[in-house]
Amino acid sequence: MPSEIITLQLGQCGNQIGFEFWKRLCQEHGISPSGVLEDFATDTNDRKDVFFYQADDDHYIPRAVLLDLEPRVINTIMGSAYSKLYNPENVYLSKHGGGAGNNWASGYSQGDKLQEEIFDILDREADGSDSLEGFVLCHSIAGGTGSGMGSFIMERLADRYPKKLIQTYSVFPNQDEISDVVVQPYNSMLTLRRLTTAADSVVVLDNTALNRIAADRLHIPNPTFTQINTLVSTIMSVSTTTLRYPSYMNNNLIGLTAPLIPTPQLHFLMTGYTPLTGDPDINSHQHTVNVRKTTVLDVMRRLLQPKNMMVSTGLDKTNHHCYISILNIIQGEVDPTQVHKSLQRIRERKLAQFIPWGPTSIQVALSRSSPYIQSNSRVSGLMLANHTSICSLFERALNQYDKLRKRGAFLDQFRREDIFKDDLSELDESRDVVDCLVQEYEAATRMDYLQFTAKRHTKTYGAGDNKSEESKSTENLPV
Amino acid sequence: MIHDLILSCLVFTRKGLSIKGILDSTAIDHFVHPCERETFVEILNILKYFNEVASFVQKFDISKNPCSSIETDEFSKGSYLKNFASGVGDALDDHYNMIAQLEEVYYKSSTNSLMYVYDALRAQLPVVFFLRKLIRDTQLQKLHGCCLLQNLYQQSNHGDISLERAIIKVLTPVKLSFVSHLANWLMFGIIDDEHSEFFIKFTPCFNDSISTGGKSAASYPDQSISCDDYIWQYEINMQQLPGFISTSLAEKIVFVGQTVLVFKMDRSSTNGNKTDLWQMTLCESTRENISELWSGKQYIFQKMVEELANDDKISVVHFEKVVYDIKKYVSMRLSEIAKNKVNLEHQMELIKDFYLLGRGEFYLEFLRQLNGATKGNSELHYRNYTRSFEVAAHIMGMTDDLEHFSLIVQNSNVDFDGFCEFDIFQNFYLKYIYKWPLNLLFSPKVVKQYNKVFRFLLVLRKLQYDLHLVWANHTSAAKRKQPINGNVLKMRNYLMFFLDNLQYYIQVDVVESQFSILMDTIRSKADFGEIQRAHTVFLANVLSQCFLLFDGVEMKVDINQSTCCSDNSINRIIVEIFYICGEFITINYTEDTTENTLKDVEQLEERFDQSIASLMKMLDTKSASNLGPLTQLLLRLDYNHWFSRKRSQQ
Repeated sequence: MPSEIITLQLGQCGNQIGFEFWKRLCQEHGISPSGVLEDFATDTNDRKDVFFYQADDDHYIPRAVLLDLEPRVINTIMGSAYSKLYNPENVYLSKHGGGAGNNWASGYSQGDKLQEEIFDILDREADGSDSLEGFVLCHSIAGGTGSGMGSFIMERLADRYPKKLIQTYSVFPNQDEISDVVVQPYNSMLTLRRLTTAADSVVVLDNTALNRIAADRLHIPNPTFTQINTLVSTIMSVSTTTLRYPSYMNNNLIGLTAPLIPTPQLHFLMTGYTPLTGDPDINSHQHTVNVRKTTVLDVMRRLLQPKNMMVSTGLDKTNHHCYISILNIIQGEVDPTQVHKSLQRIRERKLAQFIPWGPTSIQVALSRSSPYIQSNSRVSGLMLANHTSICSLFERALNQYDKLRKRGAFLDQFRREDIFKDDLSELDESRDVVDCLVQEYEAATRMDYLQFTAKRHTKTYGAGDNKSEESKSTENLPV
Repeated sequence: MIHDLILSCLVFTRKGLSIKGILDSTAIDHFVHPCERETFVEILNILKYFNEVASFVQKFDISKNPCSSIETDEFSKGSYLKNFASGVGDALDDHYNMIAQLEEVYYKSSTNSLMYVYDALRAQLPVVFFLRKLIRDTQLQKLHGCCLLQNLYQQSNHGDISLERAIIKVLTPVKLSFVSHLANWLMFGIIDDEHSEFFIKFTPCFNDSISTGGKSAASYPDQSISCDDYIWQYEINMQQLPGFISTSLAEKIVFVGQTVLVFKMDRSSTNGNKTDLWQMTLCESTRENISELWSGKQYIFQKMVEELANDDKISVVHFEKVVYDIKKYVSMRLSEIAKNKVNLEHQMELIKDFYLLGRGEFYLEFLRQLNGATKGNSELHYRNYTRSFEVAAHIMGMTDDLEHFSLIVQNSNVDFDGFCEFDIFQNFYLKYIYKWPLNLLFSPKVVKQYNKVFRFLLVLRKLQYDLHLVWANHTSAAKRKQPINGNVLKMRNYLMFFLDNLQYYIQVDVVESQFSILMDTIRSKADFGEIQRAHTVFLANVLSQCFLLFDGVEMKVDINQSTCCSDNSINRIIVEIFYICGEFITINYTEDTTENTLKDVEQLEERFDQSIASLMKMLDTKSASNLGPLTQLLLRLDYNHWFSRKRSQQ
């Protein structure tokens, strides 16, 4: 089966959303928690093999690798009904079980130490696929394992599999609540650097926005992790439907991401989903009877509303941010003739602002949805968008980082690890990379963006050769 | 003497001008009063007209005159003409009866004068003139077959009662032979028409029917000339189509006969290879297959058809009603079978999935296989394509669906060393083995048109795939800190944007939209004729909205763009952009970014800008009515007004 994708779930958060993702995929493809194909699902032509493979006894096994440095979440998974789903050889727990202590540096150096064992798993998994297309990484950027070890693995993957795509689903921390992880700004900054340099596309899952959506739109005052993760798994599963079901376009990861990412740096994607109905179990008595009569235009219009975005970008006071690209994946009973009319209406009413430096449009992919899951609405849609306002997220991270860094707070635990043994230049360089990224996104709102990239390239890679070499040498340190 | 005359009237008309001698001889002066002489000449004149008509009848009366048929030329053959002659003969019967009566009258009172005979004969004159006119028309215009019928039909609504009676007599036998032709065709799909009199003809020229206008007729593989095409060789013969049958009615009649033929086909051997063999089996085909279609109703319908002959005149309303009833029944039956036996909806889905590239993932794998197969092997061989197609089907686990499809690469004279690999795709031919009884939907012409769309979409898909590879190269280069030149990136984005949006336009705005209309028809209507029409409309719309319809001129994409002879300028622009893509991809494969390649990219960008500009200009210049599809495409292409702004700046 072509275009296989290997999923890596790292750390507490990564494993939680990964777990929800696989649960959802099993439901959609009619695979029981133990990996057996349900009787009702035998006669379909969906493409299970992209994310699953079949063992000798016909069981479906996810192409998933579960990694964590502390056992709590993985133990929960292995204690659940889905424990038999995963290949036990692909579940890796560090022997000491002590975690990374929410410290990026600790996660990073543990990744270094464990890389042989981890890459044994990854290489085996890669060898087992006919034409591996890429890796999908689930993690959070704020903790220790997902961010630190995730960063390390991303770098190694990019080296080891230069032709394979690396996509991440990266959870950004909730800004509305005070985190108990004090070094979160450091962790975020260090991870963001790897997301910028080593990943090909990053789907940003912003906990701030997810919590707000749960509270405001779904009326769940104190959403649990599971409720939030249901949202996340919806986004993850819908964003992969064109890969998992027969479809005329966007059949592989490249086909899905290439139209969204015009220049290599601008690869941070936002998502939006509508209609949001929350946990289907809770609301089922209200919705199963009357299926919402949403239309394509409704869906496409709502997807352009900021309140449906899963990223909290803050207020755009100068109103200069714009869409670089949009892909809407629409599911349900769609009248295809409505797509053109909807596009026309949105354009007439100027509901979306686009970049001034190149052609772009709203691409609409009509996708099949699982026949085994009852949908509450006639039409539903997911938006994958490349929007310049995402840089406000990075700016926020920069501000928090700067505050902490100015005080020189909590740096001791970083200095203990190999990567910060000599100095803290790694932190400063990461800040520079992220700062550049913010500038790039700002530049992308302007007419002369393409000249900007040209200039930046001569600056960074022409005259500033020393610097890039420097950064290369630091990257190559932990081998 | 008058008795003689009357006798000779009968003989005269039957045997010739024996009485003429009377006129010449002096005898006439002895018996006929000079005053009556004129009358006598008049009578003879009238008799001359009779004779003209009667001799026409005799010419065709084979039973009495067996050798006469030998001399007849091409246009005087055929049962219609024969029946016409016998009809005229019937009409003359009145005349003979009258003379017989005259004789009787004369026996009773011998005092009747010559004048009395003259009067009686003169009363018959209009009928004779009328008959003579019909015969003259027929002979002068060389009418035969259904045209003859049409001529009679035109004359049949006559106000004069006696004339009307005559025409009915003439018409009846002619109609009889028409109805029997019709019944043979409608009930058994047989055309027994050696003189090509019926308005449906069988043209047994195989190559022409398959590749109308295609130059590469000879290169089509033999299998495509299969027995399945047999039914498509029945066509309406417009020359013989009577005016009282509208073209659409004639199409209905053809449809019914074709359906019958389809039912007569031996279903197990749809893959039969020899046409001769096929024709033989067709002739011997058992009645059972047809009775499956009629399911016992054929006698009812046959009676209905035969009753047509009992009408005095040709009642168009009645005729249409019978044809309509039969067609309705046949097409209902057919769609019943099509739905229940072969799952028509599923077949149409397959058509969409494979001809119209609905299964993108399969074609992606196909292209990947091609890419792998041709990498180390610079010499492209057509077998690689067929093989890649099969391998891809195997890998995707779609061999079941694909058992109906096979990819054939036609041997063409095109040199493969052109710079754009997709030229070879023009030789692809995707063959669809349809299930019985869908033969009526997939005529060779339809399959050919599907292939046209297929090739177009496949080229599009191939370029898209290649550009994605370029994108992947650029992205991984950026990760290795080897930035790509901004202009190259820009050009890549333009081209990718164009292809993506062209494809979204085709797949969503054209294919999906049209397909949903087609499927609605299939689901709602039970009538196969309507399904057939909806399918034709579907295909025509897809072709035109993909800008693949050309007025007569077959497009031939060649390496030389000058030979790209189509009057479809939109298509020309799209093809031009395809070429730009192809060149851009080769540039990116071959070298690193040097001065030369940058210059090349710049040139390509210029060409691209020109193409887009002329595409947009087309909207301004032409009337917007026939450019609906183009506006739809441009809405997507110019969504953020980027191209139009760029244009206005220039």
